[in-house]
Amino acid sequence: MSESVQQLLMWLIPGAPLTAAILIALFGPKVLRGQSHWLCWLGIATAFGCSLALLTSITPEGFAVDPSQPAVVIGYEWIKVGSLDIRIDLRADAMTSIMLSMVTGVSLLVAIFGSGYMHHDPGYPRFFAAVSLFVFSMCMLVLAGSFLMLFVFWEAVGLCSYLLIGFWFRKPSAAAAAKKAFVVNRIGDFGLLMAMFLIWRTFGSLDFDWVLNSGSTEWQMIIGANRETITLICLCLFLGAMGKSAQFPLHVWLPDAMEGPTPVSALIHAATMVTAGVYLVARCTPLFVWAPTAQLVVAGVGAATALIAALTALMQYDLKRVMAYSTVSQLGFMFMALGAAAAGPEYVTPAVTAAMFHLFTHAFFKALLFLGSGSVMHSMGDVIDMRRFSGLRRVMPTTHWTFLAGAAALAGVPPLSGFFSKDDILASLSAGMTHGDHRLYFAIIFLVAVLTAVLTAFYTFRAYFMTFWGPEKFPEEAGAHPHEASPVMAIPLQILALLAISIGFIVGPLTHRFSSYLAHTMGLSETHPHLHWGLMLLSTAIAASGIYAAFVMYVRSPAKAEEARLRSGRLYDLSQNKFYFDEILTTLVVAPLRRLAALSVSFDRTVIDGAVDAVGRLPRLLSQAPARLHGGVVGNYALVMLLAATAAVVFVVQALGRQ
Amino acid sequence: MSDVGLTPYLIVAAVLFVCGIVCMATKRNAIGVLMGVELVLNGANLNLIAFSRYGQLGFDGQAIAMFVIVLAAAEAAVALAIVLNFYNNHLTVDVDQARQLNS
Amino acid sequence: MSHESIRTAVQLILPECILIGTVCVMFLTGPFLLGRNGQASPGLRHRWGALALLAIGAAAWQWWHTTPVAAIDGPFLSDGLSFTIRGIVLALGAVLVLAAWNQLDDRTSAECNACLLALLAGVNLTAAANDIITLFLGLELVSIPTYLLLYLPTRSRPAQEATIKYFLLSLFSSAMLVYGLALLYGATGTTMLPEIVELLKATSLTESPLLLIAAPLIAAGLGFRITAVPFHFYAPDVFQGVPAFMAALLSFIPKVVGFTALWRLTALTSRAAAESADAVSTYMASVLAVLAVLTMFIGNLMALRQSNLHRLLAYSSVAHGGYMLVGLLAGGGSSGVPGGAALLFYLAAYGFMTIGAFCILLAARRSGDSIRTIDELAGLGSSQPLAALVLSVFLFSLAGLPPTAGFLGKFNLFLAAWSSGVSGTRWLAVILAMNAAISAWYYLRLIGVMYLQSPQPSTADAPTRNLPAWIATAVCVAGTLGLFLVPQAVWDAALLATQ
Repeated sequence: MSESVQQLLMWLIPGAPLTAAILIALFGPKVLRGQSHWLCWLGIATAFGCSLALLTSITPEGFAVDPSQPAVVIGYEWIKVGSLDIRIDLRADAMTSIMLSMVTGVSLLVAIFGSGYMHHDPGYPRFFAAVSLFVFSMCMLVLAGSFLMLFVFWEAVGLCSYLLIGFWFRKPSAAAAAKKAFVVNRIGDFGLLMAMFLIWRTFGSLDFDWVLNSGSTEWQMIIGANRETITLICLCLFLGAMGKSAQFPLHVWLPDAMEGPTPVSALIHAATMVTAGVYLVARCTPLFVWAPTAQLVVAGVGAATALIAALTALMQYDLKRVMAYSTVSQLGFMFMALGAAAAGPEYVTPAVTAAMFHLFTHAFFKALLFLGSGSVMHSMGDVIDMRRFSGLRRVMPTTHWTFLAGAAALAGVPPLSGFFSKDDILASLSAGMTHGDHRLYFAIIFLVAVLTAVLTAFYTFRAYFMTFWGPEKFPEEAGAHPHEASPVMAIPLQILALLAISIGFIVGPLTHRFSSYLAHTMGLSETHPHLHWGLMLLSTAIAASGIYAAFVMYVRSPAKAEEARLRSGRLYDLSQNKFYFDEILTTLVVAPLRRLAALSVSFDRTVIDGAVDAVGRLPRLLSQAPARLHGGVVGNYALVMLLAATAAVVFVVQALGRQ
Repeated sequence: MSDVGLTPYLIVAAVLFVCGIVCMATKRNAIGVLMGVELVLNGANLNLIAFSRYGQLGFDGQAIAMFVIVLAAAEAAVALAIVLNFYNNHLTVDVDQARQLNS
Repeated sequence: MSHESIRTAVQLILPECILIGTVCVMFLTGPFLLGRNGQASPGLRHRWGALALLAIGAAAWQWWHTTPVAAIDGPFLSDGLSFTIRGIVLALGAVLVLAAWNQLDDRTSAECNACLLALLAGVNLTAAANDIITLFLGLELVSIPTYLLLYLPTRSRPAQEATIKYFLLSLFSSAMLVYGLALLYGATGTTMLPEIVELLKATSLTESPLLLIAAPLIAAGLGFRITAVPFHFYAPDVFQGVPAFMAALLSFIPKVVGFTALWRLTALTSRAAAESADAVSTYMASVLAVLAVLTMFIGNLMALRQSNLHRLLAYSSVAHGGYMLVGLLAGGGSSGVPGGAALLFYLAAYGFMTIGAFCILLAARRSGDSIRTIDELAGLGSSQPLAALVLSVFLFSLAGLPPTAGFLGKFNLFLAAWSSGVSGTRWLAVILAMNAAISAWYYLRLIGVMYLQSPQPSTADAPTRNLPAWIATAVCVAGTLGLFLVPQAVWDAALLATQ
């Protein structure tokens, strides 16, 4: 494909959604109204088509000469300030085009689903304008050719997220959640800003092609002379990633962000925007390679997040919140994998590939799970509390099987997509356990990962069983006849389910398509990964044990417990061995876990929320003193001016006198 | 009549300036404030003319002084209109009565 | 002064001559177009507005055909600074004429438009001043029409209170300035600005004690115009009392003259300009740095408390004065970014965003004068989506967020202060960044109110059509976004001024 066609594609990918956003914003409320989704679909579909074309056009042959060179760069000279020469570059390489295809593909499906889900909402055009704007910003974020561009669109996706979390702004909880997301993300942005500043000081440029191009000798010299600074840069970058990707302790905003419409949660808070942090760290691999300390921090924070979020998810009754904590936990997994690159130079590529692959598969199955939850919510009359409905599998067969596919993928059931990607991550962690300088550290992290994986399988299927199994029960808000999703909602679910099932063995470790394609990214190299049969067995066992535990506790034992209670009051029959086992499981495992979960929830609510609020209140307190001076009396104003002028004279005189 | 030199002029001008500026900052009567302004401007004029006379600096100082006098007159005209209108609205020329606008 | 030198001098200020000529025509013919008992025919204001725009257009045409030249001997000069300032002022002056258009009544529109043009000429003359006398006259040519503009359009009680407050405090500051300039003249023995600057660079304070009093007084007098704390007190009260177009004017025009005058007296304020160890500028730089810090913090902290939009924007204007002061103090910056260029770029950006913010409050009004309180903004996102979007653009810019001119402006100021290499100035850069963060809080709160709160039922009547204000708003939006997207031309012009 010729260069000019590629450049056209790269303009169209962000351009089409932007045009759609502008047109919907201008004509949506008055002209388009209920037909606004067409423009949005058209815009995103164009972007998706172009992304696929770009994906196939950037084949390995396209840059066989030097794999570190991107295939396409288009640019515009923006401003020259002093020694700083800022260009606006759109830059596409292998990692970019994978992200683009994933983002636009999932967005398209979510937009289709959204037109069914938001059908009766008065803010229908606003929703599609914001979604189109988001797709534009997200495409620009991954197309950015410099840290500056990345930062600009980092903020832009944050803004779209803010607008969409607060979509139902008349609900106070939605407005509060939007505010919280905004404030927490500022902390992360501060990190990214500091990182940019340090990069500019160290490298004299913000361009990816210079800062992340490990090929040149000059670059090597800069790195060699600034090892501490590189570590600091990486830590700051990671702080930025922590905010956007909701890592502990900045994860608090994501569960609250579920106040937004469910398609938004699926798109922004599960599949795309929240993975921007992972993308950033993966993109900056050439820097992180030189900062092992930062990599250990990444792995550690990822592990802590994964475990805490999984523990919290155990005790949630809000279906969307379970999924939100699950997203946080899975993002933690991705960061663990990125951190595992510390094992040694030859483990960098597998580790980053594992993280990106998990990002890729997670986008499909988590979007699927969210849309499935949305479908449930839609038919239950906006009730999302799992205690108020059950046994939906006969009423909503399509939602049921697609949700099951997503849940199985998330739990890591072979041979679904989640199984392969989670297995890759465990493989990278085990490499860290057996190689490199931090074996004990990675051994602990590996154990955390395994434990988290069990918990993941457990809470996912707990949610599944509570929702779709058991006696049929509907809340009164659902009306007389709860209905299956309409085709416009069902079709995206089915497509996503097929992808969640199949994408793993189509492009995964069995075929190496994903890894050999991604290898053509700066900082990564061609590797020849092999399958890890031992780990695969372990993964299967993990998934099976978690699912079994959930099955025992949420499908089988409620009835048995009832039976036991009827027969012998408080005394339990010794022959009921199974029940004993359940009881032990409850006291030894679930109760402490419940307490841990409660603890981590209350930690969220008190310490972290409190700190955020306090930071917000401080300036108001500080302004109380000067406010007294502004009383409105003109004589006082003149007097203060006179005193100030006198003070200036006195200052100059006494400063001179001191000499 | 003997020549007194530059310094006494500067001192008189400084006294005028201080009187004027304190008057502006403390008077509540709008006309009083305007009188303060006149004192300060005339202090400045005295300075300018004294510098011009004693510094062998040509007529620049006098020229500025002329401009300042003309400006003072223009400002006085505007002041009259503003103060009259203030009086119509507030029935007083006490500027401290203008305190509706505050935080 | 020979005939020849007068001719050269006039040629240097031809754009201003056009403006002043139009002013004379307006003042002289205005009264005769009124009917017998002082009543004007309806729609008279359109004619005067069009004439004002025409004059500004002619002046701009003349401005475009001047080429900046190096310093010369005479009362005026036409260098890079005056070129850039003229461009900014004429562009935004036209916006101000449009903003004022429908806020003037037909009876006083001639005088009001004349005053507007006169003060634009005053700003340009200040920028073209090569001499203390012209500098001072330029400053007063801004002040006196401002008093008239405050006094003429509305005779309501709050407007008159604002007028008298502004008038008295402005006189007070002018008086300090005159006294300071008189002493400066005495200390240096010349009225020519280039000579004064050269003399001051080398003069030690101990040799010339008059400067001890002159410099702080001049700084105080100009501090009033740039709303430096503690000379800012008038701003919130006055902004609250006056019509929106006057608030727009007061948030911008005095800052331009104030900073231009400070720039012309750079030897008084710039640490970098000092050649002697205890030259006056080393001390004044410290004084101004303290003022800058106070201005930024007080402006932003006070803005957090406001519920009246005009007051909020007044404190915002105070804070922005502080940011620009940082640019002034950042100095030449031989290696990095010249602070002066950053300051000029910021002035242009600030002009578009602050005037734009007032214009949209005016254009989106539902009844009466303009939107004045935060409560009136509630639900604007759903009742007037376009107005809400436009105001959001300006608020983003004021908060210094991309993709707006404000972001690039603050970025340049930060770079300039940081790259100056002086640790004190670096601290200013850090404080600037902190304040930008604080300010984001109250600007974004307004966006939140517009989009996240439901409208008040009482104010839901249809907006009054105000076409000129909408045009002015459109120009400001174009400026605010344009200075971000294609900034190079303006930045080059700003650089030109520092050479």
